[in-house]
Amino acid sequence: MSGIAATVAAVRAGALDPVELARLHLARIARGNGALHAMVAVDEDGVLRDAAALRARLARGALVGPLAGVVVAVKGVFDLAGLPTRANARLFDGAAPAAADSAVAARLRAAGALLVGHATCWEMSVGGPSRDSPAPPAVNPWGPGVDPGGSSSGSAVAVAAGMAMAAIGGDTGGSIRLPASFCGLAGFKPGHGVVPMAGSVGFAESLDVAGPIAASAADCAVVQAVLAGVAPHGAVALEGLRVGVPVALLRHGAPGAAMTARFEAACAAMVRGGAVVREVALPSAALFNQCYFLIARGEAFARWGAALAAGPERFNALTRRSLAIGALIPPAALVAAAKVRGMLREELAAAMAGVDVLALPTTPEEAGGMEDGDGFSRPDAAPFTRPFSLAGVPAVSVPCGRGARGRPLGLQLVGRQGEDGRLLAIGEAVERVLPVVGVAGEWWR
Amino acid sequence: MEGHHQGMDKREDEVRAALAQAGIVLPDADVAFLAEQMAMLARTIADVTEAAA
Repeated sequence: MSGIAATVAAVRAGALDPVELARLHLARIARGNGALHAMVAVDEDGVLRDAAALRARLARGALVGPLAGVVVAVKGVFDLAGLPTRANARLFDGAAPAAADSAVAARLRAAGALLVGHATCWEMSVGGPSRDSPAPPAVNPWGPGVDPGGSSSGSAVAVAAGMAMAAIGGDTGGSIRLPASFCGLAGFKPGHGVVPMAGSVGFAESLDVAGPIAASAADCAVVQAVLAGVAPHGAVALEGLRVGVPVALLRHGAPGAAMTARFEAACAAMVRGGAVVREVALPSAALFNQCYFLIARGEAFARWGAALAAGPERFNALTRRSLAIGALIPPAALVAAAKVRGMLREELAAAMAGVDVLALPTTPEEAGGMEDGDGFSRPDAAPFTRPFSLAGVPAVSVPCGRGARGRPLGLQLVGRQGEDGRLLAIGEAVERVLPVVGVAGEWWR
Repeated sequence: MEGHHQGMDKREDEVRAALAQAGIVLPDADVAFLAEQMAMLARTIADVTEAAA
């Protein structure tokens, strides 16, 4: 049973009090947020009110939902009723409190989750970690000055620091999987369109998805079932599982020595568990990332270009530059990218025809420092995650060990279109044979 | 080096012109960054366009 499932069971049985759970996590936020900057808005009154209402339902013997008592942080691009949605951008200075929950938040709240507030993120999920944003960048609990990844940086940090049991992130090209990997957590990117995006500040509509970050794939599965409005998938055995390694993409992404060693160890562990691991062809590896780059920049510019023209000073430099690249892409190139995207989806489907999942690293390296940079404005950034955003298929990152500096590394598993629940069940089976990464030391307390 | 600077100046002028068409005026540092990305962007567009052909 996952940690979240065990918590829900204990809440339902009366062994855990939802008000005490809410207070515990509020206290952790109060202790750690000054150093980690994970949360930008804490809804203390709201979470205690919801916890008290849940306690009353339990006392009456009423039915409670599958996330009863689970404290969840939500990336600051999703509306939470009563809080302004600022997306860590000056563009939204003075925004009024949201009148209603986003679709994601509404589903969580209806399932009994206790929504503790907004987690920080890169400005509008676009640019990168910057000190020129309304809120300072989140810091990875794995060390002072360590990059937590992004753009759902605060979501991952909140979970890694025990401020929430799960968090909701948004992922356009890796923004759930990358911070989950860097912070020693599991992060799930659903297939495109599986989770409703109403009530959110978007980046690129044909790529944006919302999904969970939590301690494990098992925990992600419990939350994702609520987000998608489906029943959790049954268990999947590792025995006989067919795992494909897209070697061309692996070469293209050029993982470092530590990541290569951990990935090979993860493959060996899957084989020992009864899985069959073999190479698969995905020859257009570089083209996936180039095509992603054009579509992401083009769509982001279509969405935010008018605001950029009206007031470039309302964006930080990373976001300005990232958005402005879209203005330099001719429409004919976007038409070509749309055509190539279809071809690449077919190539991926063919590669996955004889396997159950693909396996590859989530990132080439462990987390680095937090210097401002324009790295994400390049087509070769996030080489292992963007291809599957482009294809719109589900993907999950699970911890698979640590790098040379002792920071976590992630193994990414990629599922077929429409097999989100099955992929998470496979993730649960795989994470059982991977090394335990552990939790970060509490230097920030 | 003079040739390099002249080339960069030309690319920066091209970036300013393209941004102006969208009604965008950015700080010089942003224009310089974008000018440095132009070769990468041109290669990306060429590769994707060729694949689509």
